[in-house]
Amino acid sequence: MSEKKIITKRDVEKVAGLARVEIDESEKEKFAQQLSDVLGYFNELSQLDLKGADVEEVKHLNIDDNQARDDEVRQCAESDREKIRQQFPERKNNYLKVKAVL
Amino acid sequence: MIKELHKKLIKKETTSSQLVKECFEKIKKDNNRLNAFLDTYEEEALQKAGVVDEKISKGEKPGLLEGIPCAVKDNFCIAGKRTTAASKILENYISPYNSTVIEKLSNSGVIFSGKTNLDEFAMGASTEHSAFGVTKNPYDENRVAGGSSGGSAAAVATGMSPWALGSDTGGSIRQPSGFCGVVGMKPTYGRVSRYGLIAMASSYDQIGPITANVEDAAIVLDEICGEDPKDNTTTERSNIKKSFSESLNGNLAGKKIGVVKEFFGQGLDGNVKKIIEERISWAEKQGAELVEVELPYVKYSLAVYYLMVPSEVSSNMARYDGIKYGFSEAVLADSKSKDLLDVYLKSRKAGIGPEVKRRIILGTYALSAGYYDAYYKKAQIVRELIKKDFSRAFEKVDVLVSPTSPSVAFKIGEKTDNPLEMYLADIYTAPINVAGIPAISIPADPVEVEGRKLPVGLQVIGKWWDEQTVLDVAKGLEV
Repeated sequence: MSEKKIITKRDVEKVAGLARVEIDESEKEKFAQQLSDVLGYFNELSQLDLKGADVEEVKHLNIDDNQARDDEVRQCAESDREKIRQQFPERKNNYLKVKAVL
Repeated sequence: MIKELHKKLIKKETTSSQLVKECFEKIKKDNNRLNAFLDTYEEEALQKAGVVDEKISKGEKPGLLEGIPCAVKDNFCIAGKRTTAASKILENYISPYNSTVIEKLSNSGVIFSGKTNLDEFAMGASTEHSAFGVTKNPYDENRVAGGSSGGSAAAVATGMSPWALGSDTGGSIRQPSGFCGVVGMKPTYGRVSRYGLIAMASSYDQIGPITANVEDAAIVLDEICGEDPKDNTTTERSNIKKSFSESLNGNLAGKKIGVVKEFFGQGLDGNVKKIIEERISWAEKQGAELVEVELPYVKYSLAVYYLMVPSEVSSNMARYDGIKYGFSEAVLADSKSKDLLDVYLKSRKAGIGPEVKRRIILGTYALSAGYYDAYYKKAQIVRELIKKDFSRAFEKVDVLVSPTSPSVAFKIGEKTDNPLEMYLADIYTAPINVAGIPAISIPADPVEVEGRKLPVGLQVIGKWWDEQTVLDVAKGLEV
């Protein structure tokens, strides 16, 4: 394993915050090392010269036609609605209850 | 195996209830030591078997899969059943609906015996990342069953289930099948609807069977494939004109088999190499023509894979936020969440395991400003170049063959602290998902390691939408 870290503990903190994941202090250091190793492995990609490569990047794999439907509201049975509501961690009557945003 | 069981049902040499009972006897005997199943549905399975038996006793002919038990990887939604993806954040989640594949199989009379273990959200190559404990290898309990579909592979290997469903993003069907000595197939991207499969990396995920033999894989694929308005990657092309299982032909004479040079190089275990090369030479004796094939960009596959997959993971995992379903820190008696942001942060902290967190962070980083153009965009271009490598190869050959994995099943704990090492376990399987082509792993001869015979997987790779040739050659190569 390389000791040099491409991604620092502060980077891990920042990115984890953006991704809305809280991580333990002890995990930050460990992740920084582990992710630096993985990112180091990606360097072979960044060093690859693709100037001569006459291709477009992949956007949709194997899809040249697409399964699409009209953008219209479809009805959902009340029994299905209730099944979905039953999965809410917190509810009030038929509403999803959340903490204050601010 | 499926055809034999089907014939026995028709001839009344056994009953569906008997098949279910036999599976549960094995589950009771083996599951405590192997941890392949997370949930089982014995009562319901017996009840459904009774219905099939009654039908047969009235003289009705059952469908090919009807009355035969199947184990389901716990990232498939089954209506009314706990669907955990082996994650704490979904520990008590009850799916309100069926995935398309479950719906199809249910209509075919398949009996679901239970849900099998996996790496959390299918992220891993050993099931060690399951929140509910590792699945052990049936051939050596000190070793992993592989992953992420380790529970399904171990269940089939021990007869706890005649066959099972798995999902494969970078080898998650094929690698555990190789490690456990069973057959596992990843069809072409777009062949099987993923609706109701808990998404990991949407441009890589595909569903497939884990079975006792190649014919069974073809039978299951016949049933599960096809166009579905609920998965936009499936189209008319996903439908089959002729049944894979009825067309199955294991004659190797005249088949052009490409041997991928890059898949026999550094990093491949000597014993595994020898076994695979022996099987390939054997194919030549059966009349197959061997062609050495070079895939120059394939060496970048893992870098492309482990850059793009975490990027897709970071967005697919955003939905597990403690709000709509699953675990929420806010409902705990000693909750420390003061506002909405706290609920996100703390629910994800407690509910998501370390490997999934690593991938979320890695993916978020890869998509961040400054990094996106240098890496992500480049990975997408290289993905196209890898696809082109494969299409050039398939101009010359019918299929490609390689080992499924660079080693036999590794020991529990061997790679858990080193994610990069764990990622390298996917070196021969991930390129297939990068290109979106079909591939199958079949058991070659086992190797003896530390006094135990351990299975070795051989991978047969085919061109887009040509599962038939993959199955045919696999049938021919089957021991």
